Amino acid sequence: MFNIKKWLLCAVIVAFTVTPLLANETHEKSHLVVIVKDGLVSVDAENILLSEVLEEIGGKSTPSFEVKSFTTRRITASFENRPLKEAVSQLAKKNYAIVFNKQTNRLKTIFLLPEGSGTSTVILDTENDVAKIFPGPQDNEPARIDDYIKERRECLHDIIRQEPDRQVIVQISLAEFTSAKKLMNMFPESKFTISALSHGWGEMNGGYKINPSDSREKALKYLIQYHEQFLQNLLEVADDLVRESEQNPAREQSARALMQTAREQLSMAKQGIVMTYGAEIVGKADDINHFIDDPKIKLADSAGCYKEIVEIMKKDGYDPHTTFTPIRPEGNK
Amino acid sequence: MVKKILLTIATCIGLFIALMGIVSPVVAADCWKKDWAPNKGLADISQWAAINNFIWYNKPFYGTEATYEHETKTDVKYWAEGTGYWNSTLPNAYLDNPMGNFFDSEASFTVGTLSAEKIQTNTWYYTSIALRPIIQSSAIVRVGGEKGLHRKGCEYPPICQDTICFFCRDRCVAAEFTAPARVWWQK
Repeated sequence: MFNIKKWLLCAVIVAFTVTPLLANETHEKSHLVVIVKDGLVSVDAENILLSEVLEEIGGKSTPSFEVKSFTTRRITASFENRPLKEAVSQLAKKNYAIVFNKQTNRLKTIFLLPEGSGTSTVILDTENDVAKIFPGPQDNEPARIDDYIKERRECLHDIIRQEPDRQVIVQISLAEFTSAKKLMNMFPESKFTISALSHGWGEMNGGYKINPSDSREKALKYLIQYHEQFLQNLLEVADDLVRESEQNPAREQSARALMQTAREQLSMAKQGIVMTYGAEIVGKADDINHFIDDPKIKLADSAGCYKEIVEIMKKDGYDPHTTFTPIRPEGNK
Repeated sequence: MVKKILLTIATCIGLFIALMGIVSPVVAADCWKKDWAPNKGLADISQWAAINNFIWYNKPFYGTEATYEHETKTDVKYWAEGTGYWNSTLPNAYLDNPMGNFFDSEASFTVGTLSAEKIQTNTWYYTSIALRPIIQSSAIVRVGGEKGLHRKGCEYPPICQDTICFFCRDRCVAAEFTAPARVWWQK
């Protein structure tokens, strides 16, 4: 016979038994513990939104910082007593930008970017409302640089696939130092405009922004002229640097090394040779596609691959200035 | 006779003052307080070029994320502008403000490094920026430095007193003078 009291009792027993189990299971599925003490961060997170973890850290840090997220990535992570920047780097991995407030010298915001955005460092100049953006690898570890190169290549291929006829600006880093003239010859004038060159040799690195109204011949002539002029000046100054080195052998040696580099490059410049390792190239996406996998090109980067952080900075009221620094080839030659 | 003597004395004093303006030793503004700032430097600044050489005697930066910018700034907006050419021996260098100008309050000709932790002691560093004149023929310029990200050891401002402290920016003036001029400065 149906005994309602028995069934009720069963239901109550089941309810009291299952509910804690379910609660435990829920608790085990996602939890978050964050401790910030003396600038060191400990995190125990399971299946939590990355933004939530960082917000927790930001709220407990002194000074606090905010998090603006454009991703719904969830993470599981556990570590103890890591410095704040290491903790952020470990959790956010690749797609984030750290923004510093120049006025207050504080970490202001961490932006979590969509996948594929890559890393950028952003330094805010709040006096002039400028956001200086430096896209680049997370650090100088070879593995990170390789990852960055691979990501950018994939990003560029995506851009090209989506809009093959679009004009694209690409910043390239060469696998080897190459004379400016040879670099120009790599990109036929009929298809490409070279808007800037990154020159360098020895300890030196620099740049030359080409006037759009100058022919390539004229641009090369001006580059060589400037290069000769400044190297000549450096050669003359190096003598003063030796004298001002207060008879310290290391300082004198470095002054003489500068002299040697200047002399070497001046000799090349007098033969019309300025060594380069990067350039900014403008061309049709489909034409760009033919060279980005060329082994002579170490890295090909494009503003389209970090447009999110540029847009974010604009929305925040800043004028974004992006500075792309090419990756130098290994060795001098 | 007395008038002549007085005139001579006045002329001499005037000449002396004028001469002091050109060759007087440069007074370092506040970089002497900053252990991260270079110890000594030579600034050769004109409307045609901003050339700086500088040296550290002690390692100034640690950690993997330190930036340093060596600045040449002036409040005179229409004195000179960048031509697009620059050169430096700072590691992983960049030109901060390509055409050098046009903020409301100042013109700035600055080369920085994203890898300041690679700066070596007792090594002369060099930055040069090619300029072209605009309207004003002379300007009071300030040469100095600005440090960026830093793993530890921030002493300014007070908020960065923690043992491990970073995201700490600071700047200082090494020398202030009327350009064109070639000026040695030290801490």
